[in-house]
This record gives sequence, C-alpha cells and structure tokens, in this order.
Amino acid sequence: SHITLTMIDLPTVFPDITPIPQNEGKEPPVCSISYAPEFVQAHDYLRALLRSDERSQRALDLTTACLEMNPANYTVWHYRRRILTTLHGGGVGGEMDEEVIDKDLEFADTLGGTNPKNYQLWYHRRALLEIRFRNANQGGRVEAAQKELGYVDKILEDDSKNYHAWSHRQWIVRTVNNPQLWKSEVDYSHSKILDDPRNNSAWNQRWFATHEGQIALSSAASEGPTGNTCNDLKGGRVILPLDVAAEEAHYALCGAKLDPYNESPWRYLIGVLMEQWRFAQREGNEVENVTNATNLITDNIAQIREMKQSLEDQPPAPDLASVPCVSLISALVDLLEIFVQNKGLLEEASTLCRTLAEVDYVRRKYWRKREQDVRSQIETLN
Amino acid sequence: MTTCNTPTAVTGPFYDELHVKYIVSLGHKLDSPSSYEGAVTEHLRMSGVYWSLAALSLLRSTEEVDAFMGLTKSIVVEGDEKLPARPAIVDWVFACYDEKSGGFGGNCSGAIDESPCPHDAHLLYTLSALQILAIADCLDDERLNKDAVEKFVTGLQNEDGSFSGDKWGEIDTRFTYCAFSCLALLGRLPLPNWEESSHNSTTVTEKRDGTIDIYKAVRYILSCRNSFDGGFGSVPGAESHAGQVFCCIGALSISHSLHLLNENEGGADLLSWWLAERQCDSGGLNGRPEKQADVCYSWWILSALSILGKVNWIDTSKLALFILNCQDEDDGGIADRPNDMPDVYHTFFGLSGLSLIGELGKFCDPDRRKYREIDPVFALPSDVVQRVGLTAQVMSASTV
Repeated sequence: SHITLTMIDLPTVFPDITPIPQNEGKEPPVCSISYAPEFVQAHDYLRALLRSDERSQRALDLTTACLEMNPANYTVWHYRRRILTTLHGGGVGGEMDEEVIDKDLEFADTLGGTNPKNYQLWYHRRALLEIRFRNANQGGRVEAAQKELGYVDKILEDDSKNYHAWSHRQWIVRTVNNPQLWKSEVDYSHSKILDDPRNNSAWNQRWFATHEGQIALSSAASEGPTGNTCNDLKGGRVILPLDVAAEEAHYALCGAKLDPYNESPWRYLIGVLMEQWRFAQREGNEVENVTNATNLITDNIAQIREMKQSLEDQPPAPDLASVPCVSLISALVDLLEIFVQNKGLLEEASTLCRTLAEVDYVRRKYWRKREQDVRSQIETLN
Repeated sequence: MTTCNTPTAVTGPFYDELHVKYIVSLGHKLDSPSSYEGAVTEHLRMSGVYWSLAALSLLRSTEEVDAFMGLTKSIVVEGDEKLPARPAIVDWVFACYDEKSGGFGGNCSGAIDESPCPHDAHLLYTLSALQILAIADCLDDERLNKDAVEKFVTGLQNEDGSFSGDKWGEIDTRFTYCAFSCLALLGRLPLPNWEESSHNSTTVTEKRDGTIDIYKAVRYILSCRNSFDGGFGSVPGAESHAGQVFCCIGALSISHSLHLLNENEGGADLLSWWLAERQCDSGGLNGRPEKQADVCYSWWILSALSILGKVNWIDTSKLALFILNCQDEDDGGIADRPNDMPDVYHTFFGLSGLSLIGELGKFCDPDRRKYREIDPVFALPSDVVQRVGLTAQVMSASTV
C-alpha cells in the first residue's frame, strides 16, 4: 500500500527537521493562490532530508508521496534507490529482498499508468530488475522476464507505439537471452502487427527478434543449422540465413498486401532483401550466394509488379483510385536499381522515378535525383 | 486525398512581438510559488532556461536578450518591484553546479547567495548549463572548473563506448551527443584520426587516461544504426526515431566522423531519405513512420538534414506554413501542432526550424534588425558557435 500525504502529518513525523523552501528569502507575491500546498510542503521537507541524505523508512515514505505528485523528478528517484539499498540491500553485487523488489515494481506500476512516457519510471523498473536478474538462476530469470513482459504488454495495449515500452522489452529479452523468449518475441511482434499493421515499432521489434535471436538459436542448437548459415558479426551485425530471409520477405509482402499504403512492411521487405544482396556481394563470398540473392530479389520484383497491377485494376478504396502507391513504387525502384547491367530494368526504374516526382510532390527533388542517378548508370551502359 | 502540385507560398503572419513577450514572461511565471507547471518542471529548469535563451536569441540581439532575461545581470521583473531582484541567470547556473561530481543539476534549492543545494548532476543539464554560459559569453568565468566538468563527462563513458546520463547508469545515444557537445564547448574534445588504420579495425584500443575514447564512442553510435531503414535508435536495436537520429548525426558531426556513414549499407542517402519520408500531408514532420506531425521534429529532422546537406529533399515551404500555423496568436509561443497550448520547448524548436529553412529572415523589417541564425549541430546561435570557435563536419548541400 502506498502512502498518501493525508496519511503523513509532516511536522509530526519530522519534528527534528527544518523544511527548506525552494526559493529562500523570497516572499510570495501578494494575492497568490497556491495550487498545491501539500506539494510545496512535502518538497520543502524532502529538500532538507536530501541535504542530510537521511536513509530511513520515513524518508522512503516521503519519496513515495513526492513521486506520486511528480514522478518525473530524477533526483527523488535516485534518493529513493539510495534509501532502498541502505534499508534492503541490492547495492553493487548485493541481493535485495524479492518482496521489496515486487513492492517497488508495483509502486512504479501505479504511477506508470498515467505516465507511460516517463523515463525515470522505466529506468527504475530496470534498476530493480537488474538486481532480480543478477540474483536468480536462469529458470528464475525467464519467469521474471515473462512476468515483466506481461506488464509491458499491458502498457502497449494503451499506447502501442510507446518507445520506452518497446525498448524495455528489448532489454529484457537481450538480458535473459533465452531461445524460447527470443522466439516468443517474434510471435509477440506478429500479434502486434496484426493488431495494427501500421505499428512501425512492432515491425522494428520483429527485425530485432529475428536477427539477434539468431545468435541465441545457433548457440542453443545441438546440431548446426542447415542451409546458409550467416551468423556474421561484422560490426556486430547478424545476417539472416537465406531461408529465413525468404520467409521474412514473404511475411513483409503479406503485410504490404493488407495495406499497401503502409510504409513499414515495404521498408522491412527492402531491408531484408538488401541485407541478403549486400552479404552476397562481399569479397570472398561464393557465387552461389549471389545467385540465391538474385533469385530471391527477382522473385519479389515479380510479386510487387503483380501487386501494382492489381492495385491499378482494383483500388482498395474509391478515393485511392487515381493515386499510385508511393511506398510500393519506391520499393520497386530500390530493387530494380540493383541490376546495374540491365538496361531494361533501369529504364523501368527511371520511368517510375519520374512518376514519383509527380505523385510524391513534397519529395520531388529527391525523386529527380534518383532519376538522374539511374539515367547516369544507363549512360555508362550505352 | 488530393495532392497539391504547386509550390507553396509562405506568408505570415509571424507574431514576433508576442513570441518575445511569451518567452520573457515565462521565466518568472514558472518561478512563482503558485505555479503548478513551474513546480512539476522545476527539476529540468536548466533546459527550460536554455530553450528560452536560445529561442529569444533568434529574435533579438545579444544585448536585448541579456537585458530582457537578466542573463548576466540581476534584474527586477516588471510588476514585481516589491520583490528582491532576481539573480542573474549565470549566477543561478553556477548555483546548480555540484562540486562533488563536477556536473550541473537541473536546478538548485535554497538561497543562491548562501549555500545552495544543486540537484543531482546529469549530462543533460550539464550541457544546458554550458550552452547557457556560451550564449552569455561566460565560458571563461573563473567559477567554471573546466577540468572538473571534463572529468564528470569522461567518467560517464562506459566500456562499450556508450555514455550514461549520470552515475545511475541509464544509457542512451542522447547522452553521447551531450557528452560530445559538452567537451566541444569546453575545448576538450579529442578528435579522431580515422586515417590511422588501427582505428578502422574492431580491435580494442587502449583508452587514454583523462579523455574519452572517441573511437569507441563513435563505433557505439554506429552500432545504434538500424540497417533496414538507415536510422538510429536510443541503443542498439531500438527503433529509429528522429530525435535519436539528430543526436547521433550531431555527435558524428561534432566528432568529424560523419563520413563513416557512407561506409555502411545504404550510406548517408538512405538515412536522408528516411528523414525526408517524415513529411506528412500537413507539411509537418513526424518522428517515426505513421505517427503524428509535431513541431519539435522541425528541429530534429531539419537539423539532421542540414548536416547531411539534404534539406531540399523535403518541401520546406510547406513545413514553414505548418510551423506558422502552430503559433499562438493570442499569447505568443508555438505549440506542438495547430490549436494546442504553446510551450517553450516547441517555441524554440519551431523558431529554429524556421531559421534553418531560411524563413525567419523574411519576416523581419529590413531596416531594423536581421534575425540571428541557428547552428544545426550545436543548437546555438551561429554567432555564438563562431565566437566559441566550435567546428563540425557537415556534408555540403546538394543543389539537386
């Protein structure tokens, strides 16, 4: 249970403390109306306690009250953590009573609902969980992780693109690094994409889970993975194995079909394909890789052309009837441009750029430059 | 959905006087004991003051800013003559300096001329403090212990090259930007030499004592790059976000490492394209795909595009109109989107956006004064950047 200010009679609890006002020596203006006298009084006492750095239960209770009134004050959060470690352990390398951790997570939860974008709250959860993860065995870690992921899901239900929430999930999954959790995170991303295919955070999470999850998957596998193993950590980057890349490309195209005017699946698709292409191009790599990547891309080009045609034949909505789908055409251009020796494909790309300069008017200068680049490449072929 | 295929004409009105009034009156409004808004933003006052000063600096001369805001001299606020004069902002900044750590807190409590109690030091507020001192031309004030502040910043770098915001350890690429900018303002940023082949490898380099490891720091930034869209997040793997992009590009620019972008898949152009895609039908910019346009992105994105030399990849006139529509025509100030309440954060970023587009100048009376310009890397007036001698690496603006 948390303390509300009506439960603390400050002068009675702190008879030995002289409160410190925010602006000493300054009299309030005549006719001022104080909107929050409890706020002012509580913080005046807190200032005094901060100065002496008192670590006690009454100090903890006061931070509770102050944080309820202003959960963004990072100094008060720091002070609270200092008090908790003094009273209950958890300092560098130390353990903290599990019940204490639970209680404070709950406290953060009560504030979190109305303050989902508050950095300090998320960081406080992380600070507490770090202690919990450190002191648990792997089984305990997974259980704790799942519980916390459940909490984050609750937040995402209200605010599905909350940057802190998604980042917190990444931190949990990475820290515990359990193959099952990595797989669940791919599934979770999928469920959020289904809820709202325009949720870019969910697409980003899928990229994260499929890529970084490869590391956990391959170290957990008793036999080596089959096919093209591309666990390439050049600069820390993981490349998807070809078969997984093909699946992810297919997934992205399906996502695009749900709503072709949605940026995210196209961005994801191009990301997956370009990753395979660049990897195949790398020095010392086998010709087979180039063939595979080329086939994958050619395949996708064909499917995108089909989508383009069917959009033109049957627009998804009356008001989109005469509006070319910029995201689709942009993706097509990106893929066509890869074939630097193929005049026909480059001409197609050039024409599409011209269309985009008209249709995506705010970015016309960008499209004109793209067209110019393609034309220059065509010139070198002549 | 209709597309308007003719260039937009940017016309006012631009509420110059009202914006000045809004900014100047904000300070003592928030300090009033009866201000609830003041109370809940008290802990980040250092940044609030920086936004106010920087915004006002775009509209008025150095001398006027000093006089209106009481930057270097204590002033009596109009209508508050009964009260003691407010201390000079610069004096308050030093009251927020925490000797124990060497950094600055977001505010302080207690009387400034007795022993004030600064809030816990943090990189965010240390940067804001130094930016205020730069604007005030007080970076050589004897109260500024440059060695100690440098030590505070350096001490926040982690093994992987990242920076924490404070001793409690939260890591974010925002803090890398803060660290680089702080050190640059102190004249203590070690510049990298990328020609030396040993620094192109991924092997660990020995950290020289007393300075940050600039190579690790830059490599960390690059590790926060998302290969599929070319953008940057708060930590590796985090979703690309315009605010984080500014911090990473700004940091690469300050550390003369921008060219490294082109060594990675997609190069700088992929990122510039992602930034350009943030422009919505309204002309405003959003921070991530499928999110709402917000005036603050006029800064985060425009400054990044300026550094990358690709401002013309968006329709700047349409953006200017969006920003102008976010002005509060009654009380001055600029809001996050049309018809919302203004605040100093959006006022600063809206004005900066107009400045970067080159639209601010057209509103000023040619006989009176020229509006000052904002520097896209350091988020300070360019004359201040010049005076302090700050340098950065930018990509030249393309004409296409």
